[in-house]
Amino acid sequence: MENNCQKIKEQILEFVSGTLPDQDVAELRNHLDKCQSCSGYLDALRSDDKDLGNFAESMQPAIARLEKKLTEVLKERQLVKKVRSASWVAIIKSPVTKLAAAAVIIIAIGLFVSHQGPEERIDMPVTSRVERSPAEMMTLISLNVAYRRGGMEAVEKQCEQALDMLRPQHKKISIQQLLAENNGT
Amino acid sequence: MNGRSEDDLVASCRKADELAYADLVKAYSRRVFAVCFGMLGNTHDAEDLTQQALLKGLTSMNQLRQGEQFGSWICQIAKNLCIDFIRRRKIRRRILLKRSTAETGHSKVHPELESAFTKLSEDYRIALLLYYFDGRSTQKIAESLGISQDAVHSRLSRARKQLRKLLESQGDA
Repeated sequence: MENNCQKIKEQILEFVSGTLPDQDVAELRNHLDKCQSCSGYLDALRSDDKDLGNFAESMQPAIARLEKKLTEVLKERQLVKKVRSASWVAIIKSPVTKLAAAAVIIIAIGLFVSHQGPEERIDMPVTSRVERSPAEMMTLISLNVAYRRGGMEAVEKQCEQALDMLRPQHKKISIQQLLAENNGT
Repeated sequence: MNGRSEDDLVASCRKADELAYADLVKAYSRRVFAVCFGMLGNTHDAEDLTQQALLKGLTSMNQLRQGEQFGSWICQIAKNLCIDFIRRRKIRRRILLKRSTAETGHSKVHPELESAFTKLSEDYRIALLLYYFDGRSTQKIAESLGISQDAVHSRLSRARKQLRKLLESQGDA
């Protein structure tokens, strides 16, 4: 009987926890009807079960307090996030921010361009005017002035006059006579 | 949880929807509190550590791989925080629990049961607390502790057996 009671007490523990298989419950009830010791053990465990339930119940206000506190913290965090997000949007959309961003871009481009290395510089061709003779320089200036005065027509007339002046001449003609003929004096 | 699954709520939390976390708090605060109280034996400290654990869960959400494992994950966070807390305070568990029985005061349990309860091993205490705090569901206990339901049944049975033994020995004394 004692060995059987030991086994039954193990079953009683499962029974109180609600984990005893259904097929064993009937056998257990049958034994409990006959055994005062095991029946007393079941009553004691049921009493412990009730007391533990009351104990858990007494903790509920603490848990409710905790849940309320946490919910408030979460709401506050959500609100702070919204305010921060709205602030960021306002800052990004403001004209001052846009101007500042444009200034930064311009400065960055300026710095980039100014820091281009010497190897990137394109060598501009040096004009060769300083190497020409004074006569050629005078000719260029004359043609330039003619163009500004009367466009291509004036340049063509200037060229015709020059060619006419340079036509074959008597070898004894002087420069003054040549120029006088050209200038009409 | 307003009909939403843990996966759904965890996914929302990852998208910075902190109010979705409020639903997880409501669903799991009892379990986390049971773990903390089981380890610390003090309502005041258990509340603090429960809050810390749940807030840590929110900020560490990206470390959780699967939403449906939230229960066991948050309970593990709570356990780790309690271990650190106990280590920091350098208080022996029995002294802390003895002090707590005087401090709680509002418990409806008779003092003998409280005294015996505090003498249970930590695993048994936590299993019993989870059972009574969170709807007497062995499945939920299994999820929270990361063990099988059979292991939960066994643990609960042994916890009751040990508690009964402690009560009987107190009665004899």
